[in-house]
Amino acid sequence: MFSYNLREVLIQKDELIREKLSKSRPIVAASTRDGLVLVTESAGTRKKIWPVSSKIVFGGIGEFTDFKGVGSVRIPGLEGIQDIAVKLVSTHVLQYSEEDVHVDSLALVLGSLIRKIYIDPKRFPICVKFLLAEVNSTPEQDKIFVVSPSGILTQIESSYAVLAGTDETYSSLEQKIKQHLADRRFEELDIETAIDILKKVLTPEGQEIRFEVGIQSRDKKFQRR
Amino acid sequence: MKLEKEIQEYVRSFAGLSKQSVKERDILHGTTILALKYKNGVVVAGDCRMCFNPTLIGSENFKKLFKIDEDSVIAVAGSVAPAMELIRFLRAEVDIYNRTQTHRLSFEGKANLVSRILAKFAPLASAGIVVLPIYASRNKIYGYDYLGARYEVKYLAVGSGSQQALTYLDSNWNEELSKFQAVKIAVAALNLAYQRNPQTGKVKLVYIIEDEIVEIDSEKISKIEEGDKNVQL
Repeated sequence: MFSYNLREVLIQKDELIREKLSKSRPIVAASTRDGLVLVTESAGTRKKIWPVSSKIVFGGIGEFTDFKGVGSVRIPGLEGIQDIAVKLVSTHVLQYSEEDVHVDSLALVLGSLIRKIYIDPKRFPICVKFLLAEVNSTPEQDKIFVVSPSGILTQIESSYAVLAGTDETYSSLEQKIKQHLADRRFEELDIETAIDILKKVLTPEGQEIRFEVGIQSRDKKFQRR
Repeated sequence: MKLEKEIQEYVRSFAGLSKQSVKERDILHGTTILALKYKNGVVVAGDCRMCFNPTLIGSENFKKLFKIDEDSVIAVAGSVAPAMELIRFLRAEVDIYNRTQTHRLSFEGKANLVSRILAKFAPLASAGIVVLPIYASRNKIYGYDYLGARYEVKYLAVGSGSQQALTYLDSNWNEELSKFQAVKIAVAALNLAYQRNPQTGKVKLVYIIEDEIVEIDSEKISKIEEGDKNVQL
């Protein structure tokens, strides 16, 4: 018979998640005057930033969906979660209307899905951390939600969010953002300036990296660079 | 929709009905309803007659305007039974949504729900049973056909007396109407239908949708009909 100690299982799962996430490159998001912007280091052909609806963007770090598995053995990752998010949004639009799609409820549903898998001792945890950001008519009304690998969601109070694999990277990035912003605020900046700042923050000293940038403007258009 | 199964079950209970088996004179019909926009809101009005056919009146006290929530009103014409069920389903759907989701359902979402429920009711049309609602919020009026097709209008009358009411609205409606003028026009249009159409009764209920929904009862309506300009709306 399959027996387990839930506490130990969760500790092991946490360890596994930490190990997998520690290799991932961070992602930063900011709510600017003209819309939302998400910047991360490019992972080649696999993308980490996607539009989910006409005003919600998804960005995540961690494992990509493992397509090598067969059928149900396939381990879900970033693409899988984005896929579910898009399907949830489309179904909601079909049943009600586009006005009724809100990031709060979407984050809640996705968070509970991940939590369900996280606490199930028989299942491999989904090693991802992602954010969902909703653009509204003013930067003050924009909303950013971060969902942890254990399915806990947090609403970000400030105008920017950092997703990093380790606590050290997180705090160093946050410090860098504060340095580069000085006495400015993201809400007052235009998109290009914000992208410049975020790129500078993400670039390690003396290195050059390629970026993946997602822009969700206030007129409901998504643009990828 | 959360109650899709229940709606399907309800429609299934009418299976096998056809125009031959259903006698038109045995089904209750609600008749004339109308809605019109004015400067700051919308007025919805309806008569209160319910009849089996042009020669047999069922009731003079059937109110065919219903509040769905704090900011929208639906008016129904056509067969009474599915109309009542449409309202019950819609209220339940909206209530479930508002209590379970993080945000309240938008008017657009509610209007889509009406379309979807009407589409489910479509098989009833083979027996001549149809519902024709008008759905209104503070700044929008939607008319529907019995299959659920939705169209936005500035004013609209539906039901057997709609021809007379629409003729009156066509010549008297404009965008700059005040609240009082709008109620007056709505009452006058329905009265014209009452005079010319045997299935339309006297207007007894009017709703004004602005910041909140205000009900105008028959007492106030008769004062407006008499030309009293000091009626508090």
